[in-house]
Amino acid sequence: MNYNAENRTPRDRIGEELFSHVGQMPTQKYGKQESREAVSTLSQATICPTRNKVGMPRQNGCGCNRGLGASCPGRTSGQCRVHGEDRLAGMPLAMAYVPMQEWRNLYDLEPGFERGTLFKELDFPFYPTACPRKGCR
Amino acid sequence: MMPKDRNALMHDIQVYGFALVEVNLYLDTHPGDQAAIACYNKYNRLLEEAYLAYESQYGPLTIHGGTDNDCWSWIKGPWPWEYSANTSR
Repeated sequence: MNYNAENRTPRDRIGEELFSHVGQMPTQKYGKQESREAVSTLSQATICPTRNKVGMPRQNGCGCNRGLGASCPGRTSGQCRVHGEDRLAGMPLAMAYVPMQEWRNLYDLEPGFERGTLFKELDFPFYPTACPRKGCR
Repeated sequence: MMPKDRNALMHDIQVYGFALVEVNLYLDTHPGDQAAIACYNKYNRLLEEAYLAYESQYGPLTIHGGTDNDCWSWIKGPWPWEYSANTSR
């Protein structure tokens, strides 16, 4: 068995042709300048912080218009929209993407110890009481 | 310089140990990152110094920490339910 041919990563299996079919590659879509913003907006979509300790922008209290009704302009089913733009548009379904962390924005030792992480970009306080089970409101 | 007291040294050990775990996890996915390796080496050295300073003054931190020749040092430190065994300040 050709190990390399048979045991490829999901991304390998998708192939360049599919990416060219559905749009830009993720690395192009979330280029370096955009990556920080992409991290925080994607994170907000899922963790719904009630307090904003690390200065991340908030929208609708939960950072995401997911699950809202008519008050959510331009909503498409199940999509998280940021500033009216679906940042995941064109991405293949069922694939998960984790932006690569970079060595930057470190806390000093003591504040990092207090915050529970050395990396400011990974400092996401979780406050689960803000979001009832069926969406963000 | 005044030698640090037990709790201050314990705090240092906890802080350096925590930072090392953080850098450890980063390096697992970025094994060639020179800045992270330099950071790891720095905190590792500081942790080692703090460990040695603590054990030379206050006795072993783990069962691997050695013992005095005339007495089993392990039982001379604070027990887990004693305040000074658990606080870092």
